[in-house]
Amino acid sequence: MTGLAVACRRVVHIYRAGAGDVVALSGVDLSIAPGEMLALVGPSGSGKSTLVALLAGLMRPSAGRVSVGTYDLGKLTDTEIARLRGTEIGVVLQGAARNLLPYATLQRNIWLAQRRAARLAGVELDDPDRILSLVGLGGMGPAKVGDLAPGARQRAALAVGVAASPGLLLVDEPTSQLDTRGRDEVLAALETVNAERGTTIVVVTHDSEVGARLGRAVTIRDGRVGAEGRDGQDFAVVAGDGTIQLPPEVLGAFPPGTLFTVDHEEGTVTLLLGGHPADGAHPDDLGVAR
Amino acid sequence: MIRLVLSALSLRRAQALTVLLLTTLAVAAAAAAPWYLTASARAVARADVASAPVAQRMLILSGVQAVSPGAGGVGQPFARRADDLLELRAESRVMDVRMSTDIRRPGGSQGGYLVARDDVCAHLVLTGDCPDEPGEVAVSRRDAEEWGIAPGGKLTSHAYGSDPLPLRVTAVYEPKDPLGAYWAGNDMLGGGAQGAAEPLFAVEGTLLAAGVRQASLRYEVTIAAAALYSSGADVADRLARARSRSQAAGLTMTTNAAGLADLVRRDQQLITLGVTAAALELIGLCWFVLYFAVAHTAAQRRPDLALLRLRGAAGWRVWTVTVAQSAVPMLAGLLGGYGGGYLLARALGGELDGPADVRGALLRSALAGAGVVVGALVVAIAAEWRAARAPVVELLRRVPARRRWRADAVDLILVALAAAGVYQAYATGSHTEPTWLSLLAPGLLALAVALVAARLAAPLAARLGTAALRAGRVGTALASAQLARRPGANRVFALVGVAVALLVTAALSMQESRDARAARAAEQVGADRVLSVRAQGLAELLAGVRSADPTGRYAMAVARFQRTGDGPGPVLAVDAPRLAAVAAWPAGVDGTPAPAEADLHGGGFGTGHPVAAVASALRPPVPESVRLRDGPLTLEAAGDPGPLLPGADMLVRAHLATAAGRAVTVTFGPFGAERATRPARLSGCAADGCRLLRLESLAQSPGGPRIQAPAGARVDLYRLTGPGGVAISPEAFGDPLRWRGSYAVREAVPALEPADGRLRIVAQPDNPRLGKGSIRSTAAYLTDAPVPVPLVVAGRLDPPDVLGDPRLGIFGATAIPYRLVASVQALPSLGRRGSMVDLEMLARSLDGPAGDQYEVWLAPGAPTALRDRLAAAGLPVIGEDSIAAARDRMAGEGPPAALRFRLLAAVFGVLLAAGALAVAGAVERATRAGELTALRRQGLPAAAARRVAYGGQLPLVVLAALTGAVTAVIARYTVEIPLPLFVSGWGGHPRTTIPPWAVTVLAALAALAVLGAVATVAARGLAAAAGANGSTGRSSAPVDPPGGQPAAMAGAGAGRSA
Repeated sequence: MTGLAVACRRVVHIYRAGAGDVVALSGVDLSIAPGEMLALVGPSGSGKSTLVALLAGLMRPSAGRVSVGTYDLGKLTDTEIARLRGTEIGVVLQGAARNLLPYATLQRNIWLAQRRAARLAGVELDDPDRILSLVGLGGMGPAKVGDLAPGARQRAALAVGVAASPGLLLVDEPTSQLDTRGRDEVLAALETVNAERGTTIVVVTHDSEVGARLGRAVTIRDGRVGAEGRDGQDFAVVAGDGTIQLPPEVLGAFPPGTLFTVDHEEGTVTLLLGGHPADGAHPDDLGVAR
Repeated sequence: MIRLVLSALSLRRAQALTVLLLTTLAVAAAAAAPWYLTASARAVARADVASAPVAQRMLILSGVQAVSPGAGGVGQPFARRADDLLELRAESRVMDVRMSTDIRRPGGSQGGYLVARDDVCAHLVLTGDCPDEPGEVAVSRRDAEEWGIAPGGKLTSHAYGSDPLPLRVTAVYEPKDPLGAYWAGNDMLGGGAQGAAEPLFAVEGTLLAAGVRQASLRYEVTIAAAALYSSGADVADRLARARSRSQAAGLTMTTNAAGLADLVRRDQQLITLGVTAAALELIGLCWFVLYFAVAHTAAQRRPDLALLRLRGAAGWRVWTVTVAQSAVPMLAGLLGGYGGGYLLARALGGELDGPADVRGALLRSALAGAGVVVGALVVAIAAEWRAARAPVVELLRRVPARRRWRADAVDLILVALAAAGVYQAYATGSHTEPTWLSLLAPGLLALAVALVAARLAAPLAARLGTAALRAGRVGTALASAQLARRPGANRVFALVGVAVALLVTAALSMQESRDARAARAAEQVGADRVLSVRAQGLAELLAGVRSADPTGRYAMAVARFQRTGDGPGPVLAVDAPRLAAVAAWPAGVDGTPAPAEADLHGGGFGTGHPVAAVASALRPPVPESVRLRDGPLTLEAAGDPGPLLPGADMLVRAHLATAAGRAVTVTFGPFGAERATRPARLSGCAADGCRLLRLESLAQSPGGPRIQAPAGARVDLYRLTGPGGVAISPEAFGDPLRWRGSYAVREAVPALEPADGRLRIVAQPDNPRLGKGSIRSTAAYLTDAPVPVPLVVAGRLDPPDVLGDPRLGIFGATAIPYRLVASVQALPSLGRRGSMVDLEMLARSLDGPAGDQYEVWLAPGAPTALRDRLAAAGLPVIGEDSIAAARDRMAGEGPPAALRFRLLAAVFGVLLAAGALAVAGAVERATRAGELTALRRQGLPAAAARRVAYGGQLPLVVLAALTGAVTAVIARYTVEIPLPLFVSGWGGHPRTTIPPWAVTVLAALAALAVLGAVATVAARGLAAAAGANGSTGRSSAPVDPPGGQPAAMAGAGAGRSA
């Protein structure tokens, strides 16, 4: 299985809560190329986990379109989505232990995760031991989750996630409770999987270093794609509705309702402060390169 | 997969064990029920058959068959034919061939029967040799004494239309076991019709030699007890078939076995009803608890489910991994339950009779157990249904979203169903006959009330919590909040309520049944122990008992009679002065001894203890009897033969009776017109003397025989002296209160004129108004008993439909006039219907020996040597019964057996409720301990934390138990139609030994002790886990992450997605 492309177009998701509705995603546009590794970063409550849940087909978007490979997830039935999760989308939940049946060996856990894919004709699945070797746990097949160190536990969770050779692997906070060494082992395992199988990998993380190491980091803020970092450089992103999120440090200088004029000239966009410029800000500071 | 499931079970041992135990319990109950039912149905049938008189098992096939001389015997061919017709298992068969004949003896002749009966000599006490040759007979002792004949004597049989047949008496007999099975079908012992001889036993050859043309044939079959153990309907069918075949063959079938079979059938029906209802209740409770346990432990399987669903596992795999974690322990429980149920049933019901019964019971047990497990699996699937169908995102939440409306709907449906069931039971029941629904009504009512009460308890607890918080009592406030908001609390409440209600109901029924059995046993038996004895007559019985127990404290002579004519029931003749000391008097309407309500007619019969009052009413002061011993007697009298037999001499014959009731006569005379004293010699009254019964006037023409004095003949009696002096003085002869005529209705009595120091007896002519067959009497009876005889009655006594004193007719004796002296609610041994007279007064009033059954009643503590003393006094014991034995017999009937099972099921129910409490405590412990630990760290004092731990459990249990107990009492006295206390009706009233409120309190407390102990253990564990048991309040318990907030990714399900 090669990596799957992911595309989100103006994705909106609203939670119905007792006191009132909560908008978790308010028009997310995101494209991920097949075989790409990407980190979704952002503060708690920004909507990154919701986005991953939509990508995993665990929820349906309230509006917009989410597609994985050739599948428009919004149009699939529950059964088709379940099949997709069993074959083409691997999911690793936050907290390694939640991904593993505590009473089954690692081999058995992997075997169980392969059952759906194993029923498909023409699919050849790796042996559980081979998968464990892929994440650096060769020979640990008979162990149970309780027998493993935290880092190994997280890699075992990754092994279950990739057991069915998915084209897309969604990983939620894989390094949040690990020390540096453990984190590096997990990231190495992810890189190995990506390199050997070409799997598209999306990792949700708070850790900007993880984002930097994966090559592409998309920042989610207030339910939108706020910025994107590539190869050590940060970019603002134009959303499908034409909006751009200003970096927080810039936004602090201009309260909501501030008026600008926008000049676009040969690849340069210039924002000119309107009638009520904010104190301490100079219009010359506001050029945004494209 | 199975390895995976086993690994899961190994990790979650506690939950698996709980499900295993609950299923084991349910299967054990279900599997035990059919075995117990089969065993108990047999046991009650056995008890019914054993306690029924053997006569109820008798079947008599009778017919008349022509006999041709020289054609051989008729008995055995008839027996073979009868066997073919009946097709019934028989315990014993007796062929009885009889021939009506006229027996000529020295001094007269008498109608009677020559009887050839199988194996008769084995059942007779013979003085002489068994008559085993044609022409030989055995004569009853009574007739032999009356006829003055002994072994070696001669008789002649003169059957109608044939030549006289000389008979040689080889033996004098008495029946060896008159109450045994052999004689149960016999209708001639004791003389049969009045005046007829008792049977002359002979071999069949004697009958054939007598030259009769036809013989009466009776085939007496004692139906095997085991034949009545099978279903009563089956027996009734067989009997009906046998009857129709017999009729077709021209024979008559007589039997009471259908009644006994019906009794067995009803008993078995009742036990089936009772046991099945109890088993259903228990199984329902088990399913309820299993649902509770599976649903409670399902939370721990949610992550498994979430993972499988996340990986897109197929539906069957999801169900296998989740349901199998309940199904495997359930299937193990099936095996364990079968084993446990088998042992339980064996312990409770005992062995079964044959391989067919065993196979049937095992098959039914297997099906019942399997049915329970299928039900349990359905329950488990229902409990897992919500989780298995939930979206993955919902499953990933640590705390599932509450869907109160579902619980509300389920409760509403349960309450509606229960209420409908209760109403149905109440509205459609016959109010006397129990039905499934009426037996289940208390449980249903308890369920409805407990569910509603649980709903009411939550807001109450919440209010209490608010009030406590305002008052600054943090511990109480938190405990109340816990009670109000605890998930599943209303289920636990309902379960405890129902379990306690069922236990209280069962305990109340058991106690009522026990009291009723004790009262009925005392009423039926009459005294602590009752010995059936063989006696020659009432006088011998009375004298024998008095000599065996001269103190009068332990033994009382009793004779039992069947009453003839109108009137309530049988007659019991008792030795009244011993009544209060010996008899067990039955309870009256309000449970007090019945004589307290005795309506003493006429008054003045005594005061003080009511039984003593009845006794003294039965035995008013009377003149002493005149007793004469062997030796010279003289009678001073004068006589006049009257116009019909001029010139004849007048004679006076004195009729006396020995203590044994044997008749002795002595004749004085001749007497002429002049007053003269004539001697005579009395013999046969050596030992205790004889009682003078009557004096009869006779006449004798010169050279002629002595005949009854003709009409108009007169004797005047002045003085009777015996060896000890004057026996009857002129004053006594002249006292009108000392003399009476015969009680016989159809006797023309003489004119008795006691006056002026003499008694004049004037013989009367025949009285045509008395009709054909009436006889003439010339006897004056010496009055040594009250006239009329005092009688105490229980039941309705209609006024006589003829003029004069009402008469007490008893079988085989002259009806005697009686006077009602008291009406009572019930009489010992006779119950609500019967009469009681004084034995001695009755014996003095009766002309000859009588009595269907002679008994000696013994008071508690009667010396064991009494039995031997009775035998020595000529009263050999031939049977024995006691109140304790009767109680045991009744305990073997269907209703008590069903009640025992019901009580056991109720105890199981309480254990199940305890199990549910334990499950709830164990499952919630970690979460609640986390909450409490957090509170402790925020400064909650240890005492307050303990109060929260205990307060969240115990009040729930106490309140639910209270609700259950109150509901049970309400149900008992409103909607429940309990099982009948006895298989055959009883109009008596149990004497309450433990009041119902005490039984209720005791049963509720017993349940509360078990449930409270479990709740306390759970609370203590919680307090320990929260570190609230120590004084420092430091805790090592882990603090769970705050529930309710979803983790990352799963947090996507914090609300419901739009």
